[in-house]
Amino acid sequence: MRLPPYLMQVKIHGQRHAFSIWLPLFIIGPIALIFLLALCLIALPFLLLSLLFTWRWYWWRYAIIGVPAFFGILHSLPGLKVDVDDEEQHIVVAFY
Amino acid sequence: MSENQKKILQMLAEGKISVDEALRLLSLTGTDRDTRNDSNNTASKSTPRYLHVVVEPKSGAAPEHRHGRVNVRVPFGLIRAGMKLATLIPPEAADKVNDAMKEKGMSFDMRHLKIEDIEELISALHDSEVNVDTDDETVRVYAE
Repeated sequence: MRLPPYLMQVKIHGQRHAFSIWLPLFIIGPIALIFLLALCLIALPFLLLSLLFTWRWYWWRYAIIGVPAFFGILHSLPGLKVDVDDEEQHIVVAFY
Repeated sequence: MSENQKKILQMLAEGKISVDEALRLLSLTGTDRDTRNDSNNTASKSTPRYLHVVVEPKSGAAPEHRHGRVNVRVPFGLIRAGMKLATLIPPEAADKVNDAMKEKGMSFDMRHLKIEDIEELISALHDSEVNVDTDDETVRVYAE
């Protein structure tokens, strides 16, 4: 079973500014999930109404495929690292 | 020498089996071990975890063509997960991508791209490395 990332590192070293931050996703993630669920509950009546009116356009298919795909991508993020370094700045974004 | 091979030699020494039978049994134990080694090698070989894309600028490159150093490590799981999103690309956007690729000389329909194709590509990448060497930079794409 793949787990979502628990840490995110953002490092920006410029000529004027430099900072490095470790975001504890294992804390932010559950909070964001609770907010997302609350938002879904609030928006549910409107979603159902729009679903009724736009049934023929099949947009709900995209939601059915898109939501699991989004979580699949989220769970595949650990290990992703982008490191860009030029003469002016050095940027690192990594998920652990 | 494994326990099985010792037993076979002992049986040969005791005269319980003939030389031919001993040879046949020994070859079988060898094949068994080789098969296991092969399957272990295949298992470790066929599971690359990351795709690396490294762009290194050359020191002698002209300043206007000099780009930064880029090092990207992408988990193959992310590529597989992203492939599922490819089904969400609207047909109009897919047509535009196909046209752009055709202009570059690649006859390719991205709507027909399947997850099996990606798996094949990933396993092929394990054995190969792409190196592009230009006057300004070196690009390396490899799996690990």
